[in-house]
Amino acid sequence: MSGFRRNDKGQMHTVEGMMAAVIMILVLVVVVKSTAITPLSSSSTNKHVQLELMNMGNDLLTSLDYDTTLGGMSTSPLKKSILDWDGSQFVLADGVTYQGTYAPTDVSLNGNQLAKALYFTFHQYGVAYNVEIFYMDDHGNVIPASNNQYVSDHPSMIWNGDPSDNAVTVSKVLAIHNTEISTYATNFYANTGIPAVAPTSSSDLYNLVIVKLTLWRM
Amino acid sequence: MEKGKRTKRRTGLAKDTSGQMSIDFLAGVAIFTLAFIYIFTFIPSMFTPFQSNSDEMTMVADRVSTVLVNDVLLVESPDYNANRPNVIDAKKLESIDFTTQTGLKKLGLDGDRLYNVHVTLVIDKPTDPTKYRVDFGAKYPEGAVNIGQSKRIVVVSGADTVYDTSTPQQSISYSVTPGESNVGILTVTVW
Repeated sequence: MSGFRRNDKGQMHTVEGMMAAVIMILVLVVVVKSTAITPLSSSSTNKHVQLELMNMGNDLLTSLDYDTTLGGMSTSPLKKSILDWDGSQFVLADGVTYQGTYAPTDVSLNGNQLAKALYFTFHQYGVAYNVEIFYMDDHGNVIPASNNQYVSDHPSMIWNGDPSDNAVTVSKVLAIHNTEISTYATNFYANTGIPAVAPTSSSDLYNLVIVKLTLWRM
Repeated sequence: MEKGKRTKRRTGLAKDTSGQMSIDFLAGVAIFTLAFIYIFTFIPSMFTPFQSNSDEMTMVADRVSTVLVNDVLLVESPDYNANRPNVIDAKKLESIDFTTQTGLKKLGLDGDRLYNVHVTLVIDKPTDPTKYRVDFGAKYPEGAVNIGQSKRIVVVSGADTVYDTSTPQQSISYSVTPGESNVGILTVTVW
């Protein structure tokens, strides 16, 4: 008979096996529980990293909303980007130029100031971004604006995918005026579906628009 | 005395019923336990290898960048964008004194410690494509130092040429193009 079979009780080997298994599980539990990820530990959820991303997003939306004197009327580059938008969705194709999702040959967003600024600022740091435009309808619902011809799951201006867990969102409210519509974007309602909020009143306000920018590190 | 019954022959560890451990068994278990505990404490640091002690520097960098972008570098009136946050006059970077205590006080830094501040500006559309970045302030440190950094997005207003303080000297020129904005990234590093 070989060594293992000399003794047919078998209890010692079982106890040794149990002890070994218990020790291995104990080590795993202690190691996993002791790696604590806090808001200050060096990871992509670090508080300062998130704060910096939020600051950069806010800075971008604030700084692009400056006064210009195009044609004697002050329309900021941010507002002009929305007025020039044709309502369709764009994606950063190959990481180089914007391309329409529904009409892949459409690269018209490349001349858009908001898109260019976003590309310059965030592309080189490996930060992805989504830009969505919202407006409020008569019943108080906040609706994303898009071209009615193209039905999409996420109506947006720039859509680079679903954001990851550590994403940051910043937003800005802009007021669009009737004079701007008649000068720059006569097809604004047909393109984006954003209606005039009070067509018959004498005020110059067309509607309020919320620009929502989502940023996340890839 | 019972006839016919032999006492069981014990072998190995169980031969001796006095209950004492042998020295080599003790040495083996001690070495095993020590190695075990060492691995316990070593493995968690494998998952979070980067420990940073630069919380103070990060706060200082945030504060300096806020002061620069919201106060010190703003455009003077009667420009359209005078006193608008994040719209800056890049030429003002040349006149900030990063070496003396009075100069640093204007950046919101005060106290006993003489911080080292380094400011970098990168512009999207300079008129000369080979020159896109200027550096001001102390040179980056060698070796392992705690560094705090803060990035802000700005729009550079007007048209000008900015000369920096690095060697060899770099400069960027930017101009006004209707329908385009000169977006820039201002990076403040403090140590």
